[in-house]
Amino acid sequence: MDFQFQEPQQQSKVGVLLLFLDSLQKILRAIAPIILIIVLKGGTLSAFILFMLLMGTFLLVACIAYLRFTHFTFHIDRALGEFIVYDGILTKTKTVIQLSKIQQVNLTQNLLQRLIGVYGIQVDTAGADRHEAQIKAVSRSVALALKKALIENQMAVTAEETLEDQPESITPKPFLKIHFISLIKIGITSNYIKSVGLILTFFFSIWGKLHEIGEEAWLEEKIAEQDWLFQSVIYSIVLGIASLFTLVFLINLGRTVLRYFNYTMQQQQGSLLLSFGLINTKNTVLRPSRVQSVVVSQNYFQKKLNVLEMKIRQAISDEKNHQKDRIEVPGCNTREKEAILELIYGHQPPMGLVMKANWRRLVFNLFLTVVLPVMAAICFKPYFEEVSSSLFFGVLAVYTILLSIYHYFSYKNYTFYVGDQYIHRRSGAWDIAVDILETDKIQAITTSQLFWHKNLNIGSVTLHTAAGNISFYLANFDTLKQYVNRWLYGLESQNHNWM
Amino acid sequence: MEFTNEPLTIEQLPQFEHVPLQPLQASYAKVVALQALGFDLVLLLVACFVYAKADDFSSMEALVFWGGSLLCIGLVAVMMYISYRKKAYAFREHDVLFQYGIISTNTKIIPYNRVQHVALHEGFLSRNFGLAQVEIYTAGVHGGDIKIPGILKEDAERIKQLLMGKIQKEL
Repeated sequence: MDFQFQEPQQQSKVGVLLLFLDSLQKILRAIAPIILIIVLKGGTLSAFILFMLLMGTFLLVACIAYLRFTHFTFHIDRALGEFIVYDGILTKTKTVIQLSKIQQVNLTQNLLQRLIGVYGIQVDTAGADRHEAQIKAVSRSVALALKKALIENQMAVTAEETLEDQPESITPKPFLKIHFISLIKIGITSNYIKSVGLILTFFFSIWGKLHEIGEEAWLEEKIAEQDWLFQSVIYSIVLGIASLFTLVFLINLGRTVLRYFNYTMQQQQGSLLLSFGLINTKNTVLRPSRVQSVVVSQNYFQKKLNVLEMKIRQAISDEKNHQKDRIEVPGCNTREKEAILELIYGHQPPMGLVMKANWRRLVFNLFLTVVLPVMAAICFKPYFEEVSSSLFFGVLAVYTILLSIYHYFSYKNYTFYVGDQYIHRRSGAWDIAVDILETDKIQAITTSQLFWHKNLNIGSVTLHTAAGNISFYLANFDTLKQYVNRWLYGLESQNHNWM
Repeated sequence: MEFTNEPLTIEQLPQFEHVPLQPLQASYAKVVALQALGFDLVLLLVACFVYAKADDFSSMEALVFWGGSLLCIGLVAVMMYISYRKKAYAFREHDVLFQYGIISTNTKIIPYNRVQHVALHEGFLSRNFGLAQVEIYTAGVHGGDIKIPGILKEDAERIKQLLMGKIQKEL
């Protein structure tokens, strides 16, 4: 078969199914709260209404999907050198992309696409922060041929020398693939606090939705009905904690798998192409020259399971869209971490001389987060008459102990490693993060000292980079100043590119 | 000419902490004073407004209220003065130093080869005193920039030219 794409053509026939499922998924998500309420309120009549509602939605979505399919065409205009995509049922869009401007053509396949056996195509040009053109469902042969046709043209336009890379760029070689088991390991060992937050936001958004339609009393009633919950305080606390933990576990696991499913890194002409996601497949590009700093983090469980998380920060190109410049690698092992660092830096960044913070940092943190709040709580105790004294002081004691342990470990881990070329900073109490910064990437340096620390000779330093700041607080100020002089010497005597 | 290539030790490197710093122009104190005055006037108005609204103050409460308000007003003026006194700068061969702060002393250093662009800013008050602010920007995202106020207009122009020349040369 020969694909020329001269004539406007539609997507693969089975693509209708994909469009149908895609639209259905979106609509179901939108009307889920209404369905939930109808189901919960019960009754035979509402079951019938629900059935009719669903049937109607199905039919409507099917029609929309079919129209979306027939109205979507794409072709290449060789004479003008343009790739043209028509889209839209009521509001029609014509997207025209100059073939010479195309930077990347990515084939993607999310879960739905994989089940149906089609591929998606994303066309990126320079400058724009989102995909210029997106085709949702074509067969593998069409996808490969289209990619080849689009890139071939680009190659011919740009330069002869890149022609050699052509076979490689069409089928890039995989660099790293995160195994499903690694994702599960990360899912059950990280982001607990984030998940608790998610549960709370979910609960409050449901509450808010019910409030909007004036039904929050119903939820309150439901909660009040569960009087067995309040029979024993201890019992309900234990039950609450147990169910919260299970929920957090499950949500964490689901979220990680959903977000990072099939995480692959492919090497493509010196840069890395990342794609991941179960339902929405995301694609990003990692260019080693744009990397400003790397964070490697691992907690106790993850260490035992030999998984770690990496965050790679690139120079921020778009003030509004920071997320795009932050690349996360969930669940790689030590060997893979080394391979990524090797690709970014060309070798393993060596750790430098150890520097610890002054013990006043621990005391100061304890003062700020333990002593002050506890004192404030004791001062305001007369206002909480209904709370029994033993419970009040019990909570305070638990709070003090937990935070003290947290601060002790975070102080113990807080270390700066200063080398000639690299600076590492270790921090955190449970999740221990190591920031890696190449000294050439420093944009500006700020040293800082409080006036009562002058005689004690302790102070702080902040290194400003194009991807954020790295600070080290309350260390020997003379040593810090010496290091600053050395970094400045390194920055000013050579003229390395930072991007 | 004899060629030498002695090893460098850290102690021999130029030390930023011993660079003599140039304070801001004395006339900038007037600008700061006017700013402090304006700010304090707003605070005073707010205090008067609150006092007039809440008319059930006992004489003791009124005393505490006005004592606190005046303390705040005084504190603002003192802090702005300290902030002015602390600010100082220096241009070295390869970088620019700027010292600032109120309860802490901060020194920010930007090497010329990291400067993205330089701008001159003339505030409404400063312009009347013939002063300008030199703004030096890097690609650093949070606080990677230096803004030196209270420099004579012609000096500021010269500094800008110097920096532009340095940037060109570094490139």
